[in-house]
Amino acid sequence: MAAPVESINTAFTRCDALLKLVNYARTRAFANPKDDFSCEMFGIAKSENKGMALAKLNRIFDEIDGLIAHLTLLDIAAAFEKAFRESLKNAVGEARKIIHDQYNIPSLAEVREKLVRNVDKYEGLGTIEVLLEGYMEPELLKALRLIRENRNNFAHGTDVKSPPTIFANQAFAVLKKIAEDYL
Amino acid sequence: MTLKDTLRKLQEGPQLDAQAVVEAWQKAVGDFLGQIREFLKEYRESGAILIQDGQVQLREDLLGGYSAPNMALRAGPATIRVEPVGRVVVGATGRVDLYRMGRAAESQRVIALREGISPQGSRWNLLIPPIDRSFEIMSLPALLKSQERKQVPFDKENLESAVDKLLR
Repeated sequence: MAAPVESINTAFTRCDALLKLVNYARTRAFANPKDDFSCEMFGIAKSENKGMALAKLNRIFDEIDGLIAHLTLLDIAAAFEKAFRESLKNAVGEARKIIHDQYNIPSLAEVREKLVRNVDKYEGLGTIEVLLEGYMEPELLKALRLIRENRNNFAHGTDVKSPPTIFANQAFAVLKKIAEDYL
Repeated sequence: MTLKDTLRKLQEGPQLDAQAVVEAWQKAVGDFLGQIREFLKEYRESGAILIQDGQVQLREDLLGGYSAPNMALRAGPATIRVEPVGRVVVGATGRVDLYRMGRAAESQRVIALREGISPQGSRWNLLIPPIDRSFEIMSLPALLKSQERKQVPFDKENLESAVDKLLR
């Protein structure tokens, strides 16, 4: 299992690499909006005039930029959730073992391990929020909520051109801090 | 304490008046756009910059859906969008982004952050993006450093400089 902070770092840097790839393509396309590369990559017709080709490229890259901004949040949040789940599962396993070994009460014998089962559900950002509410600084909690809201809104149909209301590096710093402090 | 007492206590506590917050935010954005118009007056009058007003639909979990004014600054073939992003953001009381169409990456945007909620008018700061280092492969610390922005107050000189940076 990768260290939680390492997983978030990896997600953040791969999204930056994706943005860099897009920037290569952007530079090339805007330099020659009607060459073979631009026409093939971005569906620009050879017969299009340069102004229209540029307008089309503007729209395409605005959407790709928006997509990457949302994907970055999605990716680092997913990396955080996975790391959180993996860390927690160890504790759930321990708790179950103790219940199994030390609480050998006849009543509920069949289901006693379920007493800790609900802990399994602390794997999404929303439930992580509930778990850490009251322990985290309010600004950190507010930022975690924004990450969750933006992630959920994107998954449920945000206009890709509307950027997330939290910066990728802010979200990265918040999740990293929570991972460092609590995992 | 009964549930009734608890509920009464909660209702006596501070309530979020979402409508009032949204109205104040819409006004703040409108004032901000008005200041941009004022700061760029000489360029508007010479025809170097054309300004087009619009509206955008926004949705925030805490505030629900609402519309807010936005703006496009046209300079020759380039267009700068001035788009409100949200009222509920980290470390500020609202955010408006300025970006050139076709270059909307977060690292290329000028970010305007609202400070305070004074009804007399909001103070805004501009976060200027760093020099573009898109084509450098960087370690994580260098990458984070490369994303650090310069914060300057929103005034005529800084707006002109930001617009110039976006148009280059």
